[in-house]
Amino acid sequence: MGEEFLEDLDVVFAEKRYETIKSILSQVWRRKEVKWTFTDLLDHAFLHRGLGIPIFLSLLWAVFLFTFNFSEPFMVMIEMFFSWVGGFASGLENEVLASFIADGICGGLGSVFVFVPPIFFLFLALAVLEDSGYLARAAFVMDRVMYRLGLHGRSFVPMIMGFGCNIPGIMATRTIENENDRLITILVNPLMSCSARLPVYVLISSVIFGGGYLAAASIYVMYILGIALAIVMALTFRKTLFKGKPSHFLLEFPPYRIPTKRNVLTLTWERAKWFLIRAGTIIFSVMIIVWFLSSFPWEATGGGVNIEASYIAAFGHLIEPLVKPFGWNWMAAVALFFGFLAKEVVVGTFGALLGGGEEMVRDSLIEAGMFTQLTGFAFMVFTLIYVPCVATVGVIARETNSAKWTIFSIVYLIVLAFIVAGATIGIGRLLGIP
Amino acid sequence: MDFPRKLGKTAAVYAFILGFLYLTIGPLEVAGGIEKYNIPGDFWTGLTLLVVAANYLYAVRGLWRGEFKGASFLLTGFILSTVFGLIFILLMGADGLLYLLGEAEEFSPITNFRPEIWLFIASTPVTAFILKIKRYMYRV
Repeated sequence: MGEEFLEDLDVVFAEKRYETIKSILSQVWRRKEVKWTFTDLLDHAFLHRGLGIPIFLSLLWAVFLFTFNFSEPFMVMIEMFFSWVGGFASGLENEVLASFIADGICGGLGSVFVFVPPIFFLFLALAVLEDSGYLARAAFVMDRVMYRLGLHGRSFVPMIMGFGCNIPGIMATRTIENENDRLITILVNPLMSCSARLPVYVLISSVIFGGGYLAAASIYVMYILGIALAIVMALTFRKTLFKGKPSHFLLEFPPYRIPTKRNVLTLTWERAKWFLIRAGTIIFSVMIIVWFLSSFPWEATGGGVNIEASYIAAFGHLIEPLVKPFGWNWMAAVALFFGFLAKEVVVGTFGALLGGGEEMVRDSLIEAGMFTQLTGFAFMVFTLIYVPCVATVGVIARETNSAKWTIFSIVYLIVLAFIVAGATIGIGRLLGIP
Repeated sequence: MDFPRKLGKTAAVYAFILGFLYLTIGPLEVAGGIEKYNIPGDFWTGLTLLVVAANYLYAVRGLWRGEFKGASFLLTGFILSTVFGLIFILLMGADGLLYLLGEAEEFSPITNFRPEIWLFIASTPVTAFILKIKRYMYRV
């Protein structure tokens, strides 16, 4: 009763605010009477009941098409650079130092840095949509669906932010007043594919589909699957843990405008900078650990050549049974394990384990025949769903202020990952997909 | 009636032609394409072409009556066709760059000249219509 009253009060406040603005404006400002503005023209179609969502999905596809295909030559250039440095380092007299630079830095960190272009272009495209005023409309269009499925319309903005990084996405849920709506949004936010998972998708899709449009399509499917799972889980939570209807959504639209170069580049840089900082700190530290574990005991591994004799292989074989049913080996298990620290590390781990010397990680994965189309796709699905990175878990703990919900978010995501990846493998096998 | 009917009828006919073209190419891309006519198989892009077609065809009735509602869908259809047209022009450049880097065995501008590009070029006259109706958006 009290909540309903507060929601109505929001609407009354908004109406009164606009009435006051209108009465003041009519006294101090005269202008030509406007029948339709460009904003009206665009809103009529973008917010259309039937076409609004297809238009949104088309623009989302345009973002991915641009991001992944346009960044390819730039990725090749960075790959060439690290390949050159790796080749140069291999010639060093100190074997341990040579292995550290070639396998640890160039193989591991290099394979993560290669993904700076797609991440930069993804943020650039999202910044264009945001600065143009379209993203607010997308939230409104999606609200109709989200409300029916138990999510609050205001959840859409944190969800979209989750595409960049789940941490600001979860922090943005502070704008949701209703505690139940907020908790549901926090719990499903890790299902939105953050940019850290992007390198894993790009790598595995290029391994199993050989790049091009099919690879881009499989990445698009990951993002759509993330949204779909978030909606399904929100509905499940609404029907079980947080019974009741979501509160109403009130949103003020900014006018459409042509995005300015300065705004777009600032927004892009602010977000892309975060990836570079992470690569230089967390990912770099983890890659040193992975390199150490994969190269030592030095004598037994022959300087990291015989990886089966390394510490990391022993650990990998220990946890391999968990992922064996999906057709993945111990290296995939280890990559996923270290991915808990930061998702980009999944790629970096493959780089350190396979991509030694001048060989790049993608070619090495293809040569090793580690993934078929089906098992590779299931690996992408698993990466999308299983536990968010350790920093995100920390933010969930802080924002929910509850150990119970933090542990619950980890457990349900792991269980869901096993179920969905298992279903992918099962359905794929039934359809005869290799 | 928001703007002269004659203007609207011309735009309606053009929107219908564009909608029909998008409606033809979209399903062909979804179905796997026709190599002979340089129409690639591209499921998701094919679906988006259907969305563009829907916008253009949805615009026809409103435009015929001289209503801004019709112009709204025409403008949105044009924006979508511009977005996809420009993206595929950029991708053509990216493919050329890959060839120069030695990562692609061949680069053919003709193969890269996808339907989205020529459909975008065919859509450009829509800008003239939008500029023309701009004056009717304000009641002087």
